[in-house]
This record gives sequence, C-alpha cells and structure tokens, in this order.
Amino acid sequence: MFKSLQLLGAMIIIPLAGFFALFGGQEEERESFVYAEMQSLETLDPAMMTGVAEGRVAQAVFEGLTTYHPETLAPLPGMATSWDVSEDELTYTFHLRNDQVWTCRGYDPANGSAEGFPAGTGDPVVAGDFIFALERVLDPETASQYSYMLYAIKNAINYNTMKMEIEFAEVHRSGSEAVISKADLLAKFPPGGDVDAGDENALREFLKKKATNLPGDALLKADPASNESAAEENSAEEATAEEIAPAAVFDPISWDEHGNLHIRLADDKSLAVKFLKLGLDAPDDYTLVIHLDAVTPYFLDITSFSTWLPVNKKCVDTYGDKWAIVNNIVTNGSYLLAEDFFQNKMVLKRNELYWDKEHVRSESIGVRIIEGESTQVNLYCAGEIDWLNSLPQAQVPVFIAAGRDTAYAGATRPSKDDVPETPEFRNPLDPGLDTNPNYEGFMRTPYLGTYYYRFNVTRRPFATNHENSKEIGRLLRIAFCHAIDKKMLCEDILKGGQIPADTYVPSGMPGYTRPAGIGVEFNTAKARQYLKEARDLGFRDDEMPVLNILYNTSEGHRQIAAFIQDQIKQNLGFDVELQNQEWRVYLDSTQKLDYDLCRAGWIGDYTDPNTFLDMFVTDGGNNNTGWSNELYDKFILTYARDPRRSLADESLRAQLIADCQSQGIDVREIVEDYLAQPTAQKVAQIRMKVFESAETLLMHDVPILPLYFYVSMNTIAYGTHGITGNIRNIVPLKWVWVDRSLYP
Amino acid sequence: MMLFILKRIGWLFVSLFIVITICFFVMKIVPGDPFSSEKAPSEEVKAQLMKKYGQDLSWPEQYVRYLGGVVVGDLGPSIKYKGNDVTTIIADTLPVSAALGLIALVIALIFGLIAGIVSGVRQNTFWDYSLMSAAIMGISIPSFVIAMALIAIFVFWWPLLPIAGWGSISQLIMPALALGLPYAAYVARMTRVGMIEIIRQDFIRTARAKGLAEKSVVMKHALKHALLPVVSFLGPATAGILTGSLVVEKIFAIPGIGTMFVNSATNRDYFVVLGTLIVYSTLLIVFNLIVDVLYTFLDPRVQMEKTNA
Repeated sequence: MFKSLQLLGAMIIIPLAGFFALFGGQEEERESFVYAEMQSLETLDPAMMTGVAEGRVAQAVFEGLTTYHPETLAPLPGMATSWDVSEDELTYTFHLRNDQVWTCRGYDPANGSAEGFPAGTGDPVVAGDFIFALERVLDPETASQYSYMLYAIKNAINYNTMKMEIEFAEVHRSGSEAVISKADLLAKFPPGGDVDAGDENALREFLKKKATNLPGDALLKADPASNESAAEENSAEEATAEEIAPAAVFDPISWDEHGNLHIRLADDKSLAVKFLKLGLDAPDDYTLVIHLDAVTPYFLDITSFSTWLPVNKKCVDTYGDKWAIVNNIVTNGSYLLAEDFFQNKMVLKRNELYWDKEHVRSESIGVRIIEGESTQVNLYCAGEIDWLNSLPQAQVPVFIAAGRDTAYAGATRPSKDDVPETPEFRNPLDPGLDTNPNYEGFMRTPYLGTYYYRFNVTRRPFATNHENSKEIGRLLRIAFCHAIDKKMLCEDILKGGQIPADTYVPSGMPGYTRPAGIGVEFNTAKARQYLKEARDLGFRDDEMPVLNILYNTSEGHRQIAAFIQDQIKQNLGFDVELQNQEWRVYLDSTQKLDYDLCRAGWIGDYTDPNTFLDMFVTDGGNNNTGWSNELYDKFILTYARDPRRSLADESLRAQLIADCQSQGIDVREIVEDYLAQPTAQKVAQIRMKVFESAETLLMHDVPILPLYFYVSMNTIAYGTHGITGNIRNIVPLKWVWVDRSLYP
Repeated sequence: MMLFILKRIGWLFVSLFIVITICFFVMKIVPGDPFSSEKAPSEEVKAQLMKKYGQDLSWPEQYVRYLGGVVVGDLGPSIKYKGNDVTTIIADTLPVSAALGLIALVIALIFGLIAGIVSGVRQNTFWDYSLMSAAIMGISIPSFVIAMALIAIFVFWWPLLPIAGWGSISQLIMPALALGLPYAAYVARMTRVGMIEIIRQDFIRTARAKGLAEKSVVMKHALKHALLPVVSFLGPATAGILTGSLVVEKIFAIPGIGTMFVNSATNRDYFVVLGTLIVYSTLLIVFNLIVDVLYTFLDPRVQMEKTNA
C-alpha cells in the first residue's frame, strides 16, 4: 500500500535529514580581512609554487631573509635583521634574528612542549634552514619551476641543471665508467676540508649521498654498512633496504691502484653535479653567507621572493610530498595556516610567536576561492570580501565611473562622508609606511607587465630568409608595428587606463630610462613607407599569405585580436585570420613556433629590466619568436650579466663602448668616470645603459609588437590599510588590516 | 534478481575499463601538457617533472601503471595541486556536489511531482496551463539565468540570503533552486503526461466506479504508474545532478567536483580528469541499475529474471 509514496517520501527525507545532521546550521564567522582568489592554491611549498596567489599566502606564513616594503618593494628586514655586502658585491652576509621559532597552528610553548605537533615545531629558525631550503629548490630532483630565481648563487645553475662536465672537465669516460684522477680529486676535495679526498670512506659516503646517475640509487643509499647516516635520514629508504637481499647491494664506487676514482654510471649521461659546493655558508646558526656568481644589482629584491623562503628540514623529511598541507605544515611567518578547505577557503591566523606581531594588525585573514569574477564582484558589493585584485573587463568602466570614494559602497560599507578620518598608521620599522594612503574603492596603478604580439621570425613573411633581401622580414615587422593604433586600443577597447606601449620594458621600471625615439609608435605614413621599402627590395604583395593571429581562448584576447585584424586591413591592406586555442594547446603551439602572430604577455619577476630583456636571448625559454641576435646576446649575457668583469677587461670594455655606440647610446663618459673612481652606483648606471642599448636593438629588429603596459586594478573596502598598488601589485599580507572601528 | 544485479555489477567493471582506456589515450593525444606555462620551465626541470609524475614512460607503460593503481584504489597524484592525491580531492569535492545535488533533487521532485500531478489531473484548466508554461520556461531558461535572477531578487532586491559560498544552510538555498528547478520542470512534464495517460485507463475507471475518493484514486492507483517514466529519467539525472554543475558551482562559489572536473581538463591534470571520470561513470551506471531494480517494485510486469533469460 502506498509503496510508491513511501519510497518517494524516503527519497526526500533521508537526504534532507542527513544534510541537516551534517551542516547543523553553522554560520561562519567573518575573518578580520577577507579577499578572493580565482582558484585553490596549488601548494604552499615555496620550492614548488609558481603563482602569484600562492606567493602571497606563502610570504605571510613564511618569512624570508628580507620582506617587501608594501609600497616601494624595497627590502625590509625579515628573518635577517641586517646584512653586509662585500666591496665586490659578490658576497652577502645576512645576520639572522635569534628570536623566531618554527611554529604551527595551535602550538603555544606556554602550554608545554611541542610534542604532538608536526615535526620541527618549536625549533629556532637558523641559517641551516635557509641552506636546506635553497639547496632543496636547486636539487634537480625537486624539479622546482622557479629555481632560476636562485641562479645568482654561485654554482647554482650547474647544480640545478646537472651540467657536470663544466666543473669536472677532468672526468674521463670509459664505457659506462667515469674516472677521476687522484690529482683532480685532491684539487676538488682538499685535505682538511669538509670532505677529504684522502679519506676513502668519507668520500664514498659523500658521493653516495650527493651524486646522481649512479646505478641502483636506492640500493646504494640503502646499504646500511657504509651509509648509516643516509639510512637514518630517510626511514622510507630504510624500509626498502630490508626488502633487498644483502647480496643485491653492490658498490659502483672504487679506487684503482693509482688512487684514481672509478664511478660506474647508470647510463651514458653525465654524472650529476652535486659535488659542487653551492655558494651558501653558515659560519654559525645566525649568520648566512651567500656567494654570488656575478654581481646582481637586484639581489636583495629577489631575496624577498617566495622561492627564497626557508623551510623546516624535519618537517619536510617527515612528511615528504605532503609536508605543506594544513595538518603538517610548520612555518615561521606573520600568519599561521589555520584551516584549508580545498576550493573553498583558507584561513590564516596571526602567529602569536612572530617576532614582529605587534605590527600584524589583522587577527585573521580569509582567502576565499571564488572562481567566477562576477561572483567576486557580487561578494564585494555585499561587503563579504574586502579586496578584489581583478575585475571582469565589462565592469571596469562601471567601476571607473563610480570613482574612488564611492565605488560600490554596499549596504555594509560607510561612505567617506559618514566617518571621521582614519587614524594614522605608524610603523616604527619604517616611517615611510605612514604615507600609505588609505585608499578606498577602485584604484588603478601602473603594473610591471607588457602585453604584446610575437612575430614568428622563422616563417614567411616575417622571416629573414627572403630570397631577394634579408631585410624584408624586418621591414614588414616594423610596418606592422607602426600600423596599430595602440591609443585607440587602450581607450576604446580596453577602457581600463592601460598605457599604450611603443617599446617593450614597461614605463614604470625604476632607474631605467627608455632611449628616446626607439619606439614603434602608431604612424600610418611610416607603416606604408616601410612597406614600400620592402616592396622596393623585392617583396611582392601576392606572397603575403593570409596571416593568422593566434591567441588563447578568452573574450578579452579575442577583442584585441579583432582590433589588430581590423587595423592591419585598414592601414596596410592585408588580410588576417583569427585563431583561438585552448590555453595548453596555445602554449604548445607558441613553443613550437606554429603561428604567424600570437599574443603574449610578460609580468616582471623582479624590479629590473633584466626580467624583461633576458627572455629574448637566443633560444631563451620564453623567447618563442625564433629571433636570435648575437649582439643582443652579448648585451644581456656578457655586459649586463657581469658589468664589472666587462669593464675590468680592456678589450671587453672597448667592445662594450663600441657596441653601445652602435645603438646610439654613448657610455664613454660614464665609463671614464668609472675608471677614475669606481663605485657600485656607476656600475649600475652603465648596466642600465647596456639595457637601453639592448632594447634599442630589440626595437630595431622588432621580433615583437608591443601593445600596452598593464595596470593593476585593486578594489578596496573602506578603511583597508596596506594595499598600495605598487609596481608589481605585491600585497604583503603582514601589513594589511581593515579598520573596523570605522564601520557602524 | 541477485544474479541480475551481480551481472550488472560485472558489466560496471567492464564499462569502467573501457571508459578509462578511451579517456586515458584521448587525454594523451590532446596537445599540451600539464607542465607548460607562460613562463616556461627549463628543459632540465621539465624532464624532472615528467619523471616525477611518470610522464617520461611510454604510453602503454603509463597506462598499465595507472590501471594497476586504480585496481588497488590509488588514483594517482594531482599534478597541479601538489601534495594532494586524486582520492583526497574527490573526497573533498564530491560530498559537496552530492549534498547540493541531493537538495536540488528533492526540490526537483517536490516541485515537479506536485505540478505534474495537478496539471495531469486538471488537464486543460487554468492550473494546467500556468504550471506547464512555468515548466516550459524552466526547461528553456539555462540554470545560470535562474541563478542570476535569484541573486538579483534574494540578495540585492530583498536581502535575505547570502550571495555565495559554502558552509551554512542558507548558502544552499539559491544554488539548490538554480540546479533543481530545470529538473523539476522535466519531472513535471513527464508526470503530467504519465498521469493523463493512466487516468484514462480502465482500471482507474474501475477504481472510480467502485466509489473510491478522487484523492485515493490519484495517489494510490494512478500515481504509481504515472511515475514510471519519471523513475527512468531519474537514473541518469541523479548521477548528473550529484556530480555537480560547473555553472552553478561557479556562480555560487561552491567547492564541488563539477568545477574540479572542468579545470582539471584545461590544466591537463591527467589523473584528476581520469579520477573524476571514473566517479561519474560509476555513479551513472549504479543509478541506472537502481532504476532498473526500482522498476520491479513499481511495475509488476517487469521481471528481472525473465529479461535475462
């Protein structure tokens, strides 16, 4: 009887009851400061992260040697209270504070020991933690995508890329065996050093621990007799040891009667470099010495970067791949990771054991994962989030029109007229922070990023392989550059205050002046002139294929591509087709140079022209145009990479002056000045001149078509401090807080 | 009966095997890889990453290795969300989508059945016309429009509900409505058609003739039969609704498996894509099986043993 109805009733009631039992009406408490990210953070492991969102949280939960000033991005003391730079600028000595411990959520030393908390909790933060973290990033097995941020460290590139041959040129190969002569060994591992070449056992142990590409790696490390310390360090491998019969353990490292070292290799590739000593030293627990390969003017800028954050060895060793999840993570920064709900929300709580906790004004921070941009805007309007770091393009004009003070003042937000001036924010560490304006509403500021199109210079018509003249490809590229009205693009299409770009390095780059007259501004007369020159050299219009513009699927990119298409047709008379590809396919196509013109964007990793210009060196990983120029490579890889050495060597110095001259940049005077009185400042000036020359050359050859410089768009709730819209839009969460006393 | 269920479960594994095989190789053929990014990693780093995730092996080797993992319940790691296994990701996101889906399903059934019964019994009346017009709208208006309309009404116009998010019951109402209403519309139309057909049958006439109350005739005799098409629709619909909707999850910022699935495909997060596909296929097959079993209760004419004979 009524079977169907009963069944139906059960189908309705059971899930409902279950649901209410699960969620029993819990309402969330709002965090002191809430902002939104588009996607869940990939990881909080500083070695593995690549994104801006990840870096932001990582720099709140971890603290590196230095931290970013929220407005100028200059290095502020972090774990290092101070630092010394050697005269040759190749050695940095960081003096670390001795009052910071590794901690985790719920840990309070007042309540007893760190037992029951993740491994490493309660330990002091010492120089060794930095060395461990940096070595880990550079360890090829870690496969850190941002390891290049550490390449300033001595030997880092070789260590990271396993280019053994460079340092161990003396390794002789015979079959699958590498032989290192005794003399070389002694030179490499001198007696009395950490590893003494005379002590066979010590050297054997060192090699087993440090070298890769030995056969049967696991077997070796598991050999308990000769490598007890390695086994202790890694209990997982110890387990493997038990599974392997002792007979299977063999030793690929041996010495012959002449004292030469023989190493059996797993395959015919080179022996890994881990012998190399990285330029990292810790004379004591609170001193970290870093040796550089070459002078790096932006070095103190990158020491604030997330790849440079310290991690706790005990924690990483204990939990392996899963050390950075909420249950295991051990950190040293201004905030603790309190909760992490995948794809939903992350909660940070102020670290009460943080050395500078009196400046951490927000008790908690909520990071909400809101994938829809419109949903983010809705939540901002409803007063549920305090900061938006992007806007849907369609909303930009609306927000601009609404202005700074009144933009989307939702029901819970007071307007500026209703409340008294906000109290001043004093930061004894750096009085400069006082000047942080208390922004509210919508704020646009220049951003260190360029949106541009790449020309494929390996393919007709932009290639240099035209049978009539090599110049044709270049002339056509310049003609295209001059044919695009970038101002119109910014004002009528983008409407977000983007800055039209006639050159590549963004205009806001501090210390860098763009050489006058090198830009490819919008000028149809010039465009036609260059086209005519190309025709004079033998280019025929009928060889112009229907070009295709490749972009990754997105409404914004489509609009820009359509504009470019229209401009080219109108101003040069050529037909262009649009082609969109899904993101990963697009990346694949651009890397394989399978396009005519494609969109690209580049955001600076640090505040220095190098982060923009070094990508166009021959075969640069992000070049993707096929463009290659010997002189350009020389500017970037020789002169700019090591200006001191370039200036010290007489012939190199003469070349530098001549090469800059060839680009219309006169450096004779500064160089003479420098020779008379060498200062670091003058080196920096000369280096900037080298970059100017490089960019002049780049804009002469134009493998790219610059379109506009980015702006960052922050929408900030009333009473929010610490979000300043700096040149990289970095927001150090430590300094961010919302003055709730202003709210009714 | 038992034999039938066992046989179907056997087929479940065969189907899963086929799904995994096809999807595995389709994923591999699609251009692009999970390690590419606008800032391209160096060759060495990329090689190490490939090695770490077993992508350096040949396809057949990877395939065998993956299948081996699936058999023991290891769906592999997420390549994008480092340190997370696919199983933990599914365990985090599937219950969210399932909870939302259940509520949506309940809404679909309550609204759909009531509307369907009323308009079926009162065919060609004002009630029939207005309910069916509403149903047509429900079917033709996409759920994101319904979602936007709900937000406009219940957040900005009449501030009653939270705008988005997950964690409290009030945050559930709008997404569940947006997800459930289109299904309710389908259920209403099917129930109505079933009702109209059944109510003209002889046995209903008999029931009325013997003097049963109209309520009893409809609820006890007619509804059970009228529900048959609805039940067969519910099988795949339940699987679909439980595994989440990209659009609704995105608008209401719901941390469900629907967004996960789509994002993992665009990220080429191979193991997550395969893992979610396995979940979806399993649910689909299981719910179809449940529907078939339910049929024997609802319709005595259907007998499992005989269909297998």
